[in-house]
Amino acid sequence: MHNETQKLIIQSKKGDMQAFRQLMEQHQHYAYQLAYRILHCEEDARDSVQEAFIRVWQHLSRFNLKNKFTTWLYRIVVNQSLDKMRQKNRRFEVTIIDGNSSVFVDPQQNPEDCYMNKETMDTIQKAMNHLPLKQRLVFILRDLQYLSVKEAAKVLRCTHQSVKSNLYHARLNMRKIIEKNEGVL
Amino acid sequence: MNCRTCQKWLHLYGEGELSASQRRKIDHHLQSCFRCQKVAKRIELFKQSVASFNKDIPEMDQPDLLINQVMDSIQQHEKKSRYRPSFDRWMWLGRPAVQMAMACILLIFISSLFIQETIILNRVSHLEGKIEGSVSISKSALTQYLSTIGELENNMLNGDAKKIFNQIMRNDVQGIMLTRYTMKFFQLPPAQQLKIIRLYRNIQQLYPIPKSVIHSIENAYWQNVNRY
Repeated sequence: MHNETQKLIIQSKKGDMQAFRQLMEQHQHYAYQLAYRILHCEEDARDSVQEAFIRVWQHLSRFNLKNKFTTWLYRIVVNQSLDKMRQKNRRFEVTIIDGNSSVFVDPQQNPEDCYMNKETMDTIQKAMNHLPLKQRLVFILRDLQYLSVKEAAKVLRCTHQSVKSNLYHARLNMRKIIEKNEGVL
Repeated sequence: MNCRTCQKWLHLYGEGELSASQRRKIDHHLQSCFRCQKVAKRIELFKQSVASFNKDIPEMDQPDLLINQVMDSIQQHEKKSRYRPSFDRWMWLGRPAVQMAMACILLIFISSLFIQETIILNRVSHLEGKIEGSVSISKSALTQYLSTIGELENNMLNGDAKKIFNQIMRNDVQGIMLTRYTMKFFQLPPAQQLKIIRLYRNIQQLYPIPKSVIHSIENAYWQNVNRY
């Protein structure tokens, strides 16, 4: 953990709200990204992050400085986001993706535009929404938030092997869904 | 390595997901397998797409506003509950699961005390019955002993009697029982004391009593005899 972050946590534990403000400023971007990836809604993601930070403040005295703060924060954000999802009884849409847009364009032929168009983004998001919850969470933490296998296991409170297994199935399923819908490759 | 394993492992391309030897095996297999090369290419494209997808995330609208909202909520909460983070360490005591566990532990502790006391009382009364049945101690003498036992415990504070008392107290249930009878012992005439010593030896066959206790009682007896 960075010394600066650690100092802020220690000060926040003592009740210093300015230190806690700085701590939030440091981490809110990543927390928001994670919540947005899970909920895919800006407003809900914002609410989840807000509630997560309130919980962080309330339970900061329990936080052990030997542990990584981001791992702890991510766990809270994931839990808040899942609560939010349950509250709204959100059902991720089962999308029929039309076959006109091409996700995988040959980079040799079209190096400028490949992978960067809006349709590609939508297709990946929709494919992600098809995944079972555990696979989706593992995929988000590992491939989108770039957490290590170890950290992802800590956030989700599961074994490394479980993370690897879910990750493998998540990537395979996503690739299959995209290929099936796109009819390319 | 077969194609199935190779294609499975190809999906675990990130750091820490595969060992160095697994990577070497994949590389070796890819050199000679055209089909797996195609899959590897698709997976590479998929990786690139995911990387691009990750850049496409909307920026948070008014991040300062979110922080201010959090700060306001915390301050309101502080005012309401007079919450102090330093006291939070005791909050776990308020959890229902913890309270249940504490209640169970307390119940077990109290029960064990009662059970232990019951066992002791049972054994003492059993031995009392034995003594009463096998020694010709008059009922009135026994009743007198039982009524004065409280006083005797306070008076046993000098000489050999105290040593015996302490020695017996260090022993177990039989020791506790013997303490009471040792105190009674000194109140009886020497002839009855001798009978009781014989009785203790008989009881020892049923309930093992340390020899040192018997010897102490015998010594005390002979010293006591001299007084008469």
